[in-house]
Amino acid sequence: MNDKKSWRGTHQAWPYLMPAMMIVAVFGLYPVIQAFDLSLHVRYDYYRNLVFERGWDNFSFVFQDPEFRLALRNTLLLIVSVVPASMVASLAIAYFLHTRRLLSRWLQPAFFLPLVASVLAAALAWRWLFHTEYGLANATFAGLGLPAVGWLTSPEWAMPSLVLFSVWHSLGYNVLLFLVGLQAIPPQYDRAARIDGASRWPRFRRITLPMLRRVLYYVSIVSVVHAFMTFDEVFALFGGERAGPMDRALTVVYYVFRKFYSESEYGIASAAAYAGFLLVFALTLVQLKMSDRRGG
Amino acid sequence: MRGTNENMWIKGFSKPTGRWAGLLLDIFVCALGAAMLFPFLWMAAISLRPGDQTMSPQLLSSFPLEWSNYRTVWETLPLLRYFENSLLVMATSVLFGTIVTICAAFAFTHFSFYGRKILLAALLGTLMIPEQLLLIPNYMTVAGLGWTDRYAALAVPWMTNAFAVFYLVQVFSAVPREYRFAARADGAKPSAFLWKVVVPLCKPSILTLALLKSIANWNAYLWPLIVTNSKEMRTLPVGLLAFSTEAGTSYELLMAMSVILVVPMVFLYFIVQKHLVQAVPSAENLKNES
Repeated sequence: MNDKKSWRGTHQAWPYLMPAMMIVAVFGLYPVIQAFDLSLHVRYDYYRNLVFERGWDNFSFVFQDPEFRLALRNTLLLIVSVVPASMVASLAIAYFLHTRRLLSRWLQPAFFLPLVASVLAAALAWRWLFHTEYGLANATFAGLGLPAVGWLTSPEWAMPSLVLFSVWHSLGYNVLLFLVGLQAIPPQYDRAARIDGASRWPRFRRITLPMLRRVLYYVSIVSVVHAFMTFDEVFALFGGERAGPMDRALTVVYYVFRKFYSESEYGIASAAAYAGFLLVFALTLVQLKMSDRRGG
Repeated sequence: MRGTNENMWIKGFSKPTGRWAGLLLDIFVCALGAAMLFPFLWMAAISLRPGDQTMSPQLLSSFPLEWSNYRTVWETLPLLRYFENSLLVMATSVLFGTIVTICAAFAFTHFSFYGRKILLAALLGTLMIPEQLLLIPNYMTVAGLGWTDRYAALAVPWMTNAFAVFYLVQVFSAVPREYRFAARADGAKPSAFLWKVVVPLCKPSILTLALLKSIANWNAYLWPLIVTNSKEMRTLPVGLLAFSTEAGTSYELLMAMSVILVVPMVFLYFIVQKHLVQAVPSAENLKNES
């Protein structure tokens, strides 16, 4: 029953498959098609379920909208800053936790807590740390003789604050993935090198890192996708009404949300979501190509 | 703890300077861990301050601690109702979602059936799709089904997805084929093989999946915000969101509410923690089970 396709196997398989496939079809697959259709609706009456005109106008509107361009620029900025910073930091932390097992039992929860905690709650605490007058960030700056900074109130600091919060927020998940990867490496290689007298850095550089290549590519792809989807962080950090002072922390997904939720522009929101999705898809393909070329 | 003993045995081989560098590294990473916890520490500290001292730069600004903040939150908000909603939605969604996902993944790894390739390809296609793209059409679907403001709208749509199915397909295919042959030779039904062999074998991975689902479900606020209208249907995060616009500058109350939101997931994490990182199927799990 396992090796050749048969009607017997099909009859046995379907009861197992049905529930999950129904949910995926209705809430995972169908909406993709419907969203595409929505993005083509130019003139429509949603309440009466009538479409008067279909076309590509929503896409041209989105690409000419300065707000969407700002959102795109910010999102790309997030990808090139948060992804490398978070990956380097989380790899270092995971490597450390891996080599110091005794200490790591006590430290692991500290790095996983941001992963477990609600982003709304975490952002509330960060908003307090970032407070211009009373916040700890500025208190530290004052102690170092630096001028106070409007972390969440001045337009030019909106993105740096968002990057800082995003790196902190994404660390735990990456640490978890790296830890699993590190534990899958057979320890003999490292042990042999240690007996040969190789010190920590060369061992890491020549043994651990090459053996971790697959995980590294996986984490980089997942991180890029996550950074591209940045919404929660903006929403929670800046209080949910604006995307930061003067909208300076606007991201693509935030743009989609606003068009959909506040402005009820379903067509434009879907077009923006699709444009963003195609971009991240292209980016992932480039990453996969790179990993193929290097034999990942 | 096997690893630690080996480390100690090997230590004589490394250079003596390594020990001091190691100690420095220990201290540095401990400090980093503390920094990670810092926002939560402040959250807890502020939630225990009197209302006029929330802005104090000292961690513990006053004694005695103001435990009454929690009572105030309890009295101003229908917390019990929020808790009930959150818990009910999470429990049903995670329980049924996990079972449904297990069954589907089992079908893919255990049976050879017509349409298998097409189904896998369709699943793979949905893997890359951002959740936010689904938000609009799913909202319309739910509204069309008449589910707005009902538990079904909160629990059903995100029960399972392609990622969860794929993850378990990967995990289940690592179960040695010999087990399957043995079960077949003994005349075990597929369902018996699934629940008595496969599931116990892969318990850590299933737990990991369930934990990630629980966390995502408990903390979700955007979807519940969109599909609920009435106060009675709010989950905890939506309650916190509404409260943060109502409470204004009462930081101590907001922080107390945040602590209430965070603590249950921290507990859950500690309960399943020891299974998390060893999420690879092994014969040991089966032994512990019987």
